[in-house]
Amino acid sequence: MIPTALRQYTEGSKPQIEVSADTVSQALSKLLSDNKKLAVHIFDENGKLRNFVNIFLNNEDIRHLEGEETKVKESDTIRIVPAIAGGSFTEKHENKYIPDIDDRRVSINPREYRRYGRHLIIPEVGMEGQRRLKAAKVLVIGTGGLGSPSSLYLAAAGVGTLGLIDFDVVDETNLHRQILYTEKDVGRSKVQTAKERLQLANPNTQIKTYEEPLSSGNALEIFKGYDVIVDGTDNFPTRYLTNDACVMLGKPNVYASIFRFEGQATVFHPKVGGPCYRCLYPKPPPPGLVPSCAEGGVLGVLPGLVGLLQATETVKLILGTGDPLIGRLLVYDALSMTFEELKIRKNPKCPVCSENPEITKLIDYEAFCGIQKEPDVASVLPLQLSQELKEGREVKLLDVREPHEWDIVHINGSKLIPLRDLPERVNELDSADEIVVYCHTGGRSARATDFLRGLGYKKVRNLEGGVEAWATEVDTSLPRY
Amino acid sequence: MDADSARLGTDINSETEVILLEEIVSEMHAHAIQTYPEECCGLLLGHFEERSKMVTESRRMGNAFVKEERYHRYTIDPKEFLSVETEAEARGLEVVGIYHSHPNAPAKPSQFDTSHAWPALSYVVIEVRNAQAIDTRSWILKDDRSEFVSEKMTIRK
Repeated sequence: MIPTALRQYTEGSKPQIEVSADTVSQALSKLLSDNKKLAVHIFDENGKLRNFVNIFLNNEDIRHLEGEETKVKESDTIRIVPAIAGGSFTEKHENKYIPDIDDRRVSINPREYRRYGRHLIIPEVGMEGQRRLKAAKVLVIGTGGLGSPSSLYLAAAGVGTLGLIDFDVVDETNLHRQILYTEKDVGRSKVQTAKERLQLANPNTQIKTYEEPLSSGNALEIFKGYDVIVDGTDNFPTRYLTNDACVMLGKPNVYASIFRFEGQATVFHPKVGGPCYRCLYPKPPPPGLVPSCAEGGVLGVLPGLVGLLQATETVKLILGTGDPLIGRLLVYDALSMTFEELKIRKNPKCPVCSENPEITKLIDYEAFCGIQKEPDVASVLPLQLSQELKEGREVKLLDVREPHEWDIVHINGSKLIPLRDLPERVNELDSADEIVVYCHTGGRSARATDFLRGLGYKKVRNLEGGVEAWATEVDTSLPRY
Repeated sequence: MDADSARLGTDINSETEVILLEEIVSEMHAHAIQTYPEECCGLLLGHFEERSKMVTESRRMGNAFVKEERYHRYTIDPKEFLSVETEAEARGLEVVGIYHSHPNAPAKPSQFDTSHAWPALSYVVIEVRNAQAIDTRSWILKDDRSEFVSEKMTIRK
């Protein structure tokens, strides 16, 4: 039997030609010697059957029989069946970071062409890249200093789905760097305010909000729905939690941290061979050693740049283009205006990302980082202390903050010994005195109280809420910071 | 942009012509959009005439290529081809062409198309972008298998 496509090459354009032969091979050579024009379409230059030619003997592919040597009997039917194949010539590059991104039925509609016009004309982005951005789901943890610029640019760039996690409200002290918020937002929910702002930037981006603390109980469930996790948190328990959850789910973790004038950024993605946060920092620092931005301060413009390093890496992962910061820690110093790159190696014995991990379930990260809920020390509330002072009780006030904080505000009549100097200057204090220790918000002073009590200072108490609470509740004429 | 307003191929540099019913073009486009971003493929049934082919039916075929490659490859299972061809012949119809889509690529035959092509058949290629069929052209292989040439495509109500 000759397929219609080839009949024109046979004598008389016959659909059926009879030959006598012992094998398929013989039958074919007989057919071709009688119909020479057929040969080029059936055999290649080397005389082999072209790979798109199938020979069927009585409805069975000869490849499943004995090939061309398959024996034939009288009245057997040999059919030439075309294997129809083809395809376009775009050799699309795969995205190994988000392998299923091209399977999602998302397209850029013509109304969006103009919005993303400057993206579409970059060969590395183009329609395919813009479609990937639209198909992508990015989770931003923390909508503060880092999360503000990263989420704003990711929404503007056309990321289709953005998740935001934060349980904080906007505070006035956030405004010098958290550019999602304005003065009128003080006191409002961060994720709600952020959602409204991002929706203005790009109404096409779907924003999902999670107004709850990230915990071992909800992390996997939330992360599961996202392709890239952007870590913009400011505390160790959440960083370890984010890392472990990302490793367990095989998701890339775009990490950054900021302090004063310095920023760090990298991409943790053990699934494609890179290290994880625990490879870099196997153990958390002792509680209190590394100050947070609230304790140590941060240059307002710093998170802008560092957050956009994260946004840039996120966009690259989505496009599947360029070299991500996998295995490289970028250290940025704003004072010297330098970028340094440190190699991070994968720890072959890493408890979470090695081949045989010890940790396969999320743990209690507060406990892992040695954080206790409330330092168990004797304390006094601002109003109570104020009353005691009014009653003329002899109370010595000890300020354990830094001198430049003292310059901003302090309680009259107090003595300054910064926390780190306390061990060597403790002899300046009399253990017979009644002492109340304070700092900015009560954390450092609690540690100082604990330290002094351990040395036998029995009459030491901690001022709850620090000078901040004092300025809010007792002496509202004092400045707050 | 709907199928009706889609731009259709008009370059004519071949002596052959393929005539398609309008509803067949719509059906091919619908198939191409449904499978986007994967390639679709199907058979065109009808009659060979003196210098033209008349297509009266189209038949959707499954893309038998491995899933991961379907965005730029298609193949039709030969057994399924055989069964459609046999059934068509029983009704006096012939396989006169193949159609397939090029998601995010022009409606021109690729090198892969050429090396796998069969002579005499019309190869109708549909360019699909953003789930819209934006260009449809028909091609026919030269006798020496060297290349495809564009074929006149006429659409009838």
